[in-house]
Amino acid sequence: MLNAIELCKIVAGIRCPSTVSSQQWQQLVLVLREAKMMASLYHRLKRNNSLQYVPSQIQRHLYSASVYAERQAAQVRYECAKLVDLAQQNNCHVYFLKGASYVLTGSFNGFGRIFNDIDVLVNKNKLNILEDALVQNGWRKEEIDEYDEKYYRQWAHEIPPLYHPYRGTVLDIHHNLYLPVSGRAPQIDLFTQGAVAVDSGEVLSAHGIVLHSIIHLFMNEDFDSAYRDLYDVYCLIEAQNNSPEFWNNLHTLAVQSGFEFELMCCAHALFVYYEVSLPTDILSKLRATLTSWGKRKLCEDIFINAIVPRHPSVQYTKQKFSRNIVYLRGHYIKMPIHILFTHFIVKTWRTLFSHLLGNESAKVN
Amino acid sequence: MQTALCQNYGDCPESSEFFDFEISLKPGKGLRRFLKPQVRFLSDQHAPFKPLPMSQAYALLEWGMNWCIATHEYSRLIIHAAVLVKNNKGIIFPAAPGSGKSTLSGVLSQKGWTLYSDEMAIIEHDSLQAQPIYRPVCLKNNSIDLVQSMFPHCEMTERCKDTQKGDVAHLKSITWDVFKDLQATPITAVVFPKYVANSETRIFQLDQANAFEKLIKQSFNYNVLGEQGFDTLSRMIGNTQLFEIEYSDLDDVDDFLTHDVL
Repeated sequence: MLNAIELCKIVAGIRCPSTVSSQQWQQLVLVLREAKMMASLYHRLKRNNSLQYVPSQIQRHLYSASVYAERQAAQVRYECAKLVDLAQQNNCHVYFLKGASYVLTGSFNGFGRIFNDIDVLVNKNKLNILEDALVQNGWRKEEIDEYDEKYYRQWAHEIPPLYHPYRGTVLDIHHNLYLPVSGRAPQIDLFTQGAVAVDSGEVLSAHGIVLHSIIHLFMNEDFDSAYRDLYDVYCLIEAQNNSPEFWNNLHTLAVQSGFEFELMCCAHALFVYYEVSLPTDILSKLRATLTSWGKRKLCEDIFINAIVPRHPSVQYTKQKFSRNIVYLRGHYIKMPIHILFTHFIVKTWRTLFSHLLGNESAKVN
Repeated sequence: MQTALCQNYGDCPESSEFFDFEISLKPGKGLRRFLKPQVRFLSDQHAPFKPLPMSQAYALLEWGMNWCIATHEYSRLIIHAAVLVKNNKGIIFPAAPGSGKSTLSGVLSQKGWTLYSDEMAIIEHDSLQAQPIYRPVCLKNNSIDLVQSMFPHCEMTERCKDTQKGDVAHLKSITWDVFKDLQATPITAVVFPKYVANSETRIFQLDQANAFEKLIKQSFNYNVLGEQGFDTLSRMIGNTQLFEIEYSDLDDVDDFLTHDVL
């Protein structure tokens, strides 16, 4: 059996698949299915001409996953085009984030990616106009209670998700990249000023996309997608071919927006999982953010363990414990302590009640 | 539950090189482990369905396995249909609700037809041939009594009562010994069955467009396959006979299929 780091090396093409045993292929399918990365592996193997090394029964699973991912990508392209049309009619810029931006820019990690929803960033004062326009065009608001509605509108950086009843697409409209109530929401102009036009709408600059992915990964209390999110960052960086300009832009943006610590954590995770090394001058500046025992522990230990996917062949007590720490930290940085306290009570009560009744757990913010 | 598993899969070899899905049945969470006990089906750490009463555990397992294939298999076209084979020729019976497909599968599988599948026709894109799958027939309500009375020596599991489909039992229609030598088979005909109590047997030939539309509705993964699915389905329809039959007499149906279709 391989550990999560060793599995990454196969997905990243660092380790040749000819050296993988049958038992390890079996493990790969199960872990990557959990991590939603089977199709990503398929595309990596295809690009490296290594599919020949994959046993046929395993290949079938990887190929099936790629067919599903391609269908999703087609839907994403369609939805983005329609959204841009609607936004233009309402004089609104839309910037596509995360998965949608990977597909629209044709970046390698966009191939084989599985989507839960489409993320888009708009100007805060255009939010209501766009939301109304979408509702008039068949989109519906997910039914949420008063408390959750308040959470989104008052505290969060996004409005409650909209969904399309016929097409099944879910749309997450953001006005920032992190919760304003946290005090760490960046000045959004820092990200939008370098925006790049694509076939449909706009996306952030290359370094903007990377930093947003890093923020999304390391500021999140939920690390269920962390393994895949780190692979996204790896692929995006890989595509920059170690360009000094890219690294400098990334670092500068991190400093300006206040996410240097998260960039440091990502740098360490990329080194451990994918053997990526940042330029030494930038790395030494980033290391200066590790000012306390807590931050060092988070960076060198906790995050590294928490990224491990939730599969029994790779995730043990240490990794589960780290996930719990990350969960607590994620909430802690989200909102001031007095608001967090009340929020936690409400959410804990609901979850407990739900578990007691044997219901599968609902989404917890 | 264990008896049912042993009956239907006990003759399979212990292991092959790879397995496709890691599935499990677990007790209900929280109080529902003890109070009106529930059972959950998990595939690879996740429970795709709500829990069911513990008495329905075996039925849940079978439905769970169907779900695994229907939601993950995109390398072939999958149609919600039974596949029965005789003389190396396959007939697909797409399964609209109330069609009586499972009763048809159950009975014909005991009368010299080889059941390739009761639930899903797995069609290869290149060859348009149907693959066999080693699963029992899921019979419901009156069919259970009917099959048991027609074939008293058949291997049937105990009933799971009060499921969302009513009473449910599973019929073993083939042994592993026979199954392991089965090959993918060309499809000769698509027959849409429609059970109508006490009716005479009426046979209609379908035009291709009509059959195409009906098949899309019965497909599990056509909507994901896109162009490739369209291509496979249209080539398949172009090469097969297309019928709809209204029936109540299964012997009549057997006769028609054996002599007129094959």
